[in-house]
Amino acid sequence: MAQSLYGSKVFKPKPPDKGSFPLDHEGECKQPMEVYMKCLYDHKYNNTECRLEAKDYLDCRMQKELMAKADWSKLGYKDLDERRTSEKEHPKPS
Amino acid sequence: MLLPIRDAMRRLPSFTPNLLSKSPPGWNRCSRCLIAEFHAVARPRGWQDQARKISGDRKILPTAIEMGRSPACSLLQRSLALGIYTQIGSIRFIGNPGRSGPRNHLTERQQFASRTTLNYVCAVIITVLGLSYAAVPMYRMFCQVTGIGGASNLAQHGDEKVEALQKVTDRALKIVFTADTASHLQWNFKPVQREVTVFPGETALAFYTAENPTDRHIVGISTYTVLPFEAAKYLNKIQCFCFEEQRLNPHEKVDMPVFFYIDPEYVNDPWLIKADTITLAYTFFEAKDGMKFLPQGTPSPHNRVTPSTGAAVEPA
Repeated sequence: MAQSLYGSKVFKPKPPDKGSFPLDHEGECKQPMEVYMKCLYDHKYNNTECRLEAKDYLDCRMQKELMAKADWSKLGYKDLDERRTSEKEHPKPS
Repeated sequence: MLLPIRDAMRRLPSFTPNLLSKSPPGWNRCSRCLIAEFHAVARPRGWQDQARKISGDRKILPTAIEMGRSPACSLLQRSLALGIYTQIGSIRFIGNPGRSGPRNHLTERQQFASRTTLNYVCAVIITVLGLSYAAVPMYRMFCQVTGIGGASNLAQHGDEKVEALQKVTDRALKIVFTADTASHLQWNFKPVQREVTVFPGETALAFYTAENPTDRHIVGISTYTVLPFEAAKYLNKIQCFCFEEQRLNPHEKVDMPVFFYIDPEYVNDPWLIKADTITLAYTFFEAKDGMKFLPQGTPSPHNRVTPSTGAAVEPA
C-alpha cells in the first residue's frame, strides 16, 4: 500500500496472508512446476487456462509437507474442487 | 455697578442641543473653527452638563476653558478687543460641524455590544482550532473501535475473503515479474515467467528461481515492490517467499513460488482505469543478524525471528 508523505509516495509492503513458503531444497515438487510452466507457455501465459496445473503443484506441496494443508476453497480453487467432486460422483462416459 | 452684571446674567446662555442652525443665545459660534463660546460674567452653573447636551456625543475638549485663551479665533479676538464681555471660556467641540449626533464617541451600550461580539468571535475561533487539533486522536479512536479507516472495503482479508472471491471477467491484467539482487548477494535470482495474464478475483501462481553458485551457504531475505503504487493495495499475496530468511546451500537451485490474487475492487478504482499492467518486483538482500523487514510479532507459521528479542533462531 502506498501513502503519500509530503507529496512523495512511500510504499509499505504487506506481509502475505499465510506466511512464507518453505524452500523446496530437494526439488520434490519440481515436476508439477515444470508441467505448470509448460502449460503457461502453451497458453500464452494465461493463468485461467492453467489453474488445474497450479492446483496440482500446490497439492504436491501439501503432500510433501512443504505447505500447510488448507481447503481448496480457502485458496480460491472452489470451482475446481466442485468440478472434481462432481466428476467423481457422476463420471462422464468416456 | 450691578446693572451690567444683571444684564449679563440675563443673557445667560440657554442651551439648545442643535448647533447647526443657529447658536443658542449667548453662544457665538465661530464660522471657521469649531469653537463655540459663551460669554457670560460667570460660568453658568452646571455648564458642563449643558455643554455635553449641546455637543451631543462629540467629545468635549476642556483645553480652551481658560480666560481668553481660546486658540486663534477671530470672534474671540474681536470680542476681547471690544471688551464688551469678559470671555469666560470657550468649549471646543471636535467633529464635523455639519453633523449632529454621535460619531466618534460610542455609547456605553454600543461598547458593550461590540465587546461581546468580539468575545463571541474569539471563542468561536478558539473552538474551531481546538476541534481541529482534537480530531486527530479522536479519529484514531474511532477507527480502532469501528475498524473503518483507509481502505475499508479491503478491511477483511484472509481466508474468508479468498473464499468469497468472485472473478471479474471483463478486465484482464498483465502481471510482469522482475527480480533483483543486492550487489553483495551472489545469487542468480530471476523469474521463471516474465509475465502472467490474470483476472481480478482469481488466484494465480508464479515462480522465481534462485541459484547459489558459490561454495558457501548464503542466507537471503527479500522484499517486494508493486508498481503502479495505487495498485499495491489490491495485490494480496496468499503465500510467497518474502520477508523470511531463505537459506541456500552451495550450488543449490530452488524454485520459489508466489501465490497471489488481485482484489476485485481493482476495477472500481478510478486511479487504475488505464492501468492494465502491474509490475511485481522482488529484491533479494543478504541477510545479516537481526535483519528483518516485518514489524516484530507479525504472525507467520515459518517465522524464524523471535518476536521479543528479534534475534534469528536457527532451526533445530
